[in-house]
Amino acid sequence: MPSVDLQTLRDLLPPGRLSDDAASQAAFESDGLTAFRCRPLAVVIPQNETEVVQTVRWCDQHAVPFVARGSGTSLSGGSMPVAGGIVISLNRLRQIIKVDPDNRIAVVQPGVINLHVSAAAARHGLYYAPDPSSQKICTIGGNIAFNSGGAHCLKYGMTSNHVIGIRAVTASGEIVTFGGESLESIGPDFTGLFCGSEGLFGVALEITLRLLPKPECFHTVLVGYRSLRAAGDAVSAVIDSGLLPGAMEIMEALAIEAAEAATQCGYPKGAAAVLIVELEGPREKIEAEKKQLESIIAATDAFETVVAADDQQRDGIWAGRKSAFSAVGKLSPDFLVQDGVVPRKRLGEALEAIEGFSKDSGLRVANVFHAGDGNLHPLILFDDSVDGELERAEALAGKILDLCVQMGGSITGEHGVGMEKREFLPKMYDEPTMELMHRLRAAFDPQTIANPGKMFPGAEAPALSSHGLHPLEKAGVISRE
Amino acid sequence: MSEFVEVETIAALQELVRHSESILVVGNRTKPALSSVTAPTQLVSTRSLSGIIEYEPSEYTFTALAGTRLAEIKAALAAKNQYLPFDPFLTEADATADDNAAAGAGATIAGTLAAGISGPGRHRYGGVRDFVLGAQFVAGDGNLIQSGGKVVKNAAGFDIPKLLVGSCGRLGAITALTFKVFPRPCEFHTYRLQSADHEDASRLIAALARGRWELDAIDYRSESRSIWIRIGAAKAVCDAIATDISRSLQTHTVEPMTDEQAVQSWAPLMQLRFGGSNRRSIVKIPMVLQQMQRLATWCDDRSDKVSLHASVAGSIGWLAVADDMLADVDTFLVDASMTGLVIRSDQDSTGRWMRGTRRSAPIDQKIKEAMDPPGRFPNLGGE
Repeated sequence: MPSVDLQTLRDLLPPGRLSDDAASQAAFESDGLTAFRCRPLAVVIPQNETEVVQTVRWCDQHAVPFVARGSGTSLSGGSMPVAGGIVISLNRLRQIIKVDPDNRIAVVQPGVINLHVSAAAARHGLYYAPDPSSQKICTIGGNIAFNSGGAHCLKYGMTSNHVIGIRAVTASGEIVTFGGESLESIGPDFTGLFCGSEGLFGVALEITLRLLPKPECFHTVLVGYRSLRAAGDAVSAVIDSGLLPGAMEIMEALAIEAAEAATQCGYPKGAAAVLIVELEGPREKIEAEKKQLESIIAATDAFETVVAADDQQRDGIWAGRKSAFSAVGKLSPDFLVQDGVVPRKRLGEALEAIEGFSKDSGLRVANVFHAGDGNLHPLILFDDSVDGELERAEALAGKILDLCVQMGGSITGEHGVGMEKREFLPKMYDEPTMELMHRLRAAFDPQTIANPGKMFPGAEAPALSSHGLHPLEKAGVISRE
Repeated sequence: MSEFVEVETIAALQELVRHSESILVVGNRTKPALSSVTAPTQLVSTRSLSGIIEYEPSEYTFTALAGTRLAEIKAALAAKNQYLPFDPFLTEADATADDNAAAGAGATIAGTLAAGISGPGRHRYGGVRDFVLGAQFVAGDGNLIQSGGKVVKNAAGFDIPKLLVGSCGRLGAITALTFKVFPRPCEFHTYRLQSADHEDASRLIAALARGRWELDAIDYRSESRSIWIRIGAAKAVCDAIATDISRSLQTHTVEPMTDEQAVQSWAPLMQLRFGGSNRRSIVKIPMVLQQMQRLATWCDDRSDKVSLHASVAGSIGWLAVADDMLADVDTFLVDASMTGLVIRSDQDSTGRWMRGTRRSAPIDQKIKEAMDPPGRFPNLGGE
């Protein structure tokens, strides 16, 4: 890395925007993938769009890498700093520019927190559907970069399905506008391409989001099973029935036990697996669908069924699910979580294989997953203070990703490739497709200065170190999904 | 224009892409304006690359070759009580089409994606962009690209399948596509709501779209000031919802359509033949509700030559216009800072499928060059 005169960047910006002291560097050295850390050269905290553009253009002129970052909750190391690079922290670009209830859109800055969009839209009876587990803290900019998911993807899709317009600065400093305020546009869907580009194209400055009417009613059912297979069969039965639940989640014994200890969520005792099914919609439809769901569940091998009688009980059911990973994580000093996807019909087979990998490696694995869309979340427990355990955990994670690819699935359903899974991307895509992706990247970023070391294999990894839970996770603010 | 050839294999298509100076892939030409080019260009049809390769009802996914007819896909899905919720247009054979292929077959799945057009059902769950999962296509360098995935959830790599939506064949020659599907409601029922004027309609559409009812479609026929609401559920449930809408709106009553009336209302729209015999050109116009009012008022003054059907709660204007009015449409769109896409025009041969305010950002051309390094496909601008 050539030496860089940071003073020229400092001079461009108002006082106080740039910090390069050790404390600032340390504050941004990691993200949600806590096994990795890397100290940036400096951190810029812009107050407005102009300062973001100035910083990006300075990086372009001086060929200095930069990493745009929201709240740093990426579980794939997607917002990990680059040594010798600049972190552009977007948390102060947190204005909800407008909510237009008639057209059901919100225009926001990238540092706006996911849940705040729904809060702003609530008085109009609207909400923003994508709900990653970290939605209390993660930002829309980060959600766009990694095309975040959540528990309701089966019915509502991922972040990109709810983004209709983006104004951004590319890594080469060009201001671009994709899409707009209409749900539709003319020409190639550049907005769709930008979503999920993992910060490799540039920095989103202003985003237009699609809002949906808040579901009037929820019908949430928690079902206990004596075997994981029985829970899986129940999912198939629901799918085959023609119902389209808002969410379908499965947790297995280890996760249930930990969640129960953490939140006293009242899950069925002795269950090998629990299934959560949630219907949502207008009361007339839910009245009809809940009877259908009741008969479907009754025909499965359930040993206990709990129907949430009110919002409080529904919140309790979800609290157990949402806390599951943090709770399981407390059983072990360290853990890794993957988010590979397999075809739904092969879920049972995948879980059996993971159990085998777990036995072979001597490491425990807990499973929580979005059963409706085949999105696994195996939680690999390890202790980094024990020589070689991190390496074994990573090897186990790699086997699971290989399995997902072999089964015709994906290495990531919602966390993105980031730094963590970049060596696996070529296992999903052949050489011509990888080359095309490199060309697309170069169209936005010919110098490869935007978030380098992510998505594509080959770059050097930051130093490994052990850190346990993310501080926000320890505090119970966020959880992994 | 050069002669029109058909390919039987993907390898043959790759060869053609590698060895043509300029090439554009078409399906059954149900949207002929999108393949109208003025420069010498080899037109290649992929309609023989046809067939559903994989269909897993339990996965909510299917993969079909580019030239597979929508009608075939729709029938296969219906047999398993599933559907494409975005209501693809031009599914049926069109006896009034001038082009023989379009008359006999209806639209293909790849043509639908490349045109980037979605029907009234886009309102509830999203458009074609929201249901495409994977795309196999030949890039400009002749390489076969496998982008996206075959499962309903995938965040690995750039979302190139979405980039192809609306690309009109200018970024790659699509050979196969994977889509997400949904279970189909047991029944659909349509209701009508009479508005006083466009402003009233706009207000009603806004109220309907953000209401608790989760309607499948909210469309507006501007000539009659009539709003059509479609609900997907058993009749008793739909009627209960319709009754509640009337109660909630207070000033307007929701009237049920008979099944026959519903078919008569929707069918011409779904074939983009709603404007009568003298308004055969079709222009898609993305908009918001305020723009819908302005466009509808503009149409009122030209009612003998222009019809507006505003779909997806005022998000998409479908304009049926007389051919000699296209220049006026252009002027209106420029004045209103709006853009239009000419889907079909019987007389226009300018190759200008984009109308009104045009994009011309440097990044567009850079993306085109990444997808098509030797420049085999026509320019993005549509001229």
